[in-house]
Amino acid sequence: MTLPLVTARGIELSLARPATGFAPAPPPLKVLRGIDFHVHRGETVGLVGESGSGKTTLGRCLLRLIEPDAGRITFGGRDITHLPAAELRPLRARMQMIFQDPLSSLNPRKTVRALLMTPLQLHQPGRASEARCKALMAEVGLPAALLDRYPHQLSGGQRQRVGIARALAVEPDFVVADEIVSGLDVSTQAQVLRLLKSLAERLGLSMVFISHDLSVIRHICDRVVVMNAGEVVEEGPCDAVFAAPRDGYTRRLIAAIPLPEPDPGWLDRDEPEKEEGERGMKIEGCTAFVSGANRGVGAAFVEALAARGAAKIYAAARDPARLPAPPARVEVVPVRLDVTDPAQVAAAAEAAGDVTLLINNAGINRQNRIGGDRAAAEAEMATNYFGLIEMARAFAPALRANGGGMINMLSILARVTLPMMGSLCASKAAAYAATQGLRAELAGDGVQVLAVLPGAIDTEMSRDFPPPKMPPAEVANAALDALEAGAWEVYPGEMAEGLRQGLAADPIAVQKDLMKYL
Amino acid sequence: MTGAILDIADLTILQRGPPATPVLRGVSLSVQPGRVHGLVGESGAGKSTLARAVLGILPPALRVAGGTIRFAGDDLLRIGAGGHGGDIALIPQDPLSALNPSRLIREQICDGMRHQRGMPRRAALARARELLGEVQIDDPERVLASYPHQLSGGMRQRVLIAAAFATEPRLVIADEPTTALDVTVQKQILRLIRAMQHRHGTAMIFVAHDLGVVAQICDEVSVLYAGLRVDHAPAAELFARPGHAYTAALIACSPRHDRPESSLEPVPDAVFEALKAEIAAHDASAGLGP
Repeated sequence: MTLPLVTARGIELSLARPATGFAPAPPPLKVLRGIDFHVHRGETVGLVGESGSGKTTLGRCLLRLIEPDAGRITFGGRDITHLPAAELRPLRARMQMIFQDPLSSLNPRKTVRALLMTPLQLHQPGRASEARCKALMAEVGLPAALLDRYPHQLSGGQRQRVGIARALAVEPDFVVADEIVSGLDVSTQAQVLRLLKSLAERLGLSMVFISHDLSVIRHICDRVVVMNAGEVVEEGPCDAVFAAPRDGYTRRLIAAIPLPEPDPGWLDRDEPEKEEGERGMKIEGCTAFVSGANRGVGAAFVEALAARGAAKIYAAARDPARLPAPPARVEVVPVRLDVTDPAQVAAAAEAAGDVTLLINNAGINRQNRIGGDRAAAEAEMATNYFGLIEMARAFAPALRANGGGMINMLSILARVTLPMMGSLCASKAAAYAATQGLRAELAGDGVQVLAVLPGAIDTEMSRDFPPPKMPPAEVANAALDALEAGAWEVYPGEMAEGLRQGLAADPIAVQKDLMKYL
Repeated sequence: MTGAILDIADLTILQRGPPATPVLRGVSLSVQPGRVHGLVGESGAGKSTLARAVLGILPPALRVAGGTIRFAGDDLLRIGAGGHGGDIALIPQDPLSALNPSRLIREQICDGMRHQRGMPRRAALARARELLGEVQIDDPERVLASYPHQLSGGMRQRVLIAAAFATEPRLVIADEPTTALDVTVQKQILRLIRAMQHRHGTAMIFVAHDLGVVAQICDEVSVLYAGLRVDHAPAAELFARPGHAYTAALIACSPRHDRPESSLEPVPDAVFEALKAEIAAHDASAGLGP
């Protein structure tokens, strides 16, 4: 496959917010949070999202009308992220924008001819001619007689055609079209969409088509990228995304579109995200098995499961006598379990044949440096990796039979390595890899596997970490929320989320930062 | 039609000239209590003009040249909509410009109840609180004590719906009430409007350009083109078997995410030609045109 024409990696942008009244200025608003995006040659990519999702801002970043705070933008293989205006100018002719409101984006004091001539004189002075203007008008299906008109003398559809002609005048490779049909009547919209589609095909344009309207995107785009609150939540070929949207937000967007066909139940039908059994597992009524339930996150899981109406909880610990008092209104079965002992694991699985949710929480940290104590490293591996594998293997038959889910409590350390606890990181990374494999293996049987990668948590195990640390209850609830939302990976807390974004943008820089913990 | 709360007959409205140009061409329609009547058409079709004529707020450039608007038996064109103050309410398109930026939400919701229904301040405020609950605002106290700019677009639209129903009107005119909203918010607001309309048994005129919205909320639909009502049918009938080629063409050019293979046919020129002929014939028989 050839390289994309335009790429964006890890794009971040924040806007400072002014102070209001006597309150101090609020923190900057994160408009784009680590966006990865690309457009291949000749491809039309739909960028969809609701107001405030950041789609227009991203479109402007791609054209370098806005310079992002972090990340990298390339055009034709060249890094243009921080290119100064003078060096950007020759590239400007190759990337153009069509604006939403042609009445405000076209100079009202210029005729259509002058509007078309301006970009030509700027970028292709040799070709700025009356003949070229007429050819452009013909290209967008407008009579040449309109060249002498002013924008206000044209209809909405005609104005938008002039906007298109103006963008195409300099023969760009790449066009960003921002909500260009949203102000038009449906019949005009159909004409403009047709025109755009045929032009894109004939001229081999690469295009980003920004719209809030998924129906329009479906008709004009090859691929769609769904944005919500500054993040890409789903991305894929239009056919695949519309046939089987994976993300809850995408499903909600699609379900919210009213179709021109009376459907008496539509108004009262709830968003599919809230329908049970759709994708995410339901906690209420489940039978859970929690390892390492005697303290920290494990104990918090027991409490959170009880609060969410779990029917039964197996609380496992090496020494069941040390389990905290069980929460009220739920059946809690204490289980003796050392996950490094295959016999105990098999017995536990045997006894808990009714389990529908396995929470692999048992883990140890021996504070072992890279190249430190080999016995400590082996102990960590035995619990954190082999223990998890053993548990998954033993409980898989029950989960397959009953349907349900598995939550593997990992750590952001699965994706980065702190030198001061190198072997722990290695064991978590191995467990992370194992989780990906388990997911692939169990997905066909309707078992949802969730990896939880938090930052530092306020427990005994993380006593050497600097704050901020998350309360265990927050981590447990974030994991259960993610499971119910149908997620397959969750990074609770700002530290973990920050690292995840950092890794997406620039993994080397993240590793360098972590060296400071030496 | 008998039992109709609103009965418009042969309404013609001209833009003052010279030459005077027709904006509505002999439109007749009636709305039954408890029913939602949709008005669709593209820009310039006369949807908003019709709504304004009923509300008695036609801009000075327009004048009624003929026809009647009967509301609950009275001729609104003679007595003026003011005679039915509080019985006809509007849910406007743009919630920000419809609210006074310098007055509290509390005052603006209570206005109609206080001035048109003569309710005491306390009672009006209590009712306002209830209404905000009906439109599913969780913290009515905060909203009542807010200024419009402190609320989100969806929130403002909820406030306006509450205000519209505050005087227990017999007819509500919703003029593109969801055009400015995101789709997910649009669905919530449509659901609310429908629920309020059901609960209060109100008749409603629903103006929209989005056929999808119209299909989901209206009981019957009138299609306007250049001020002429070209089609009219119960919603199910209109979308299943459009009675006019223009209606069919409008439906065909609305993009649908569930039918990507359809080619979004623009309205064929022949349909526009036929519409022109229809308009010319109407104008000639009504003595309008040149």
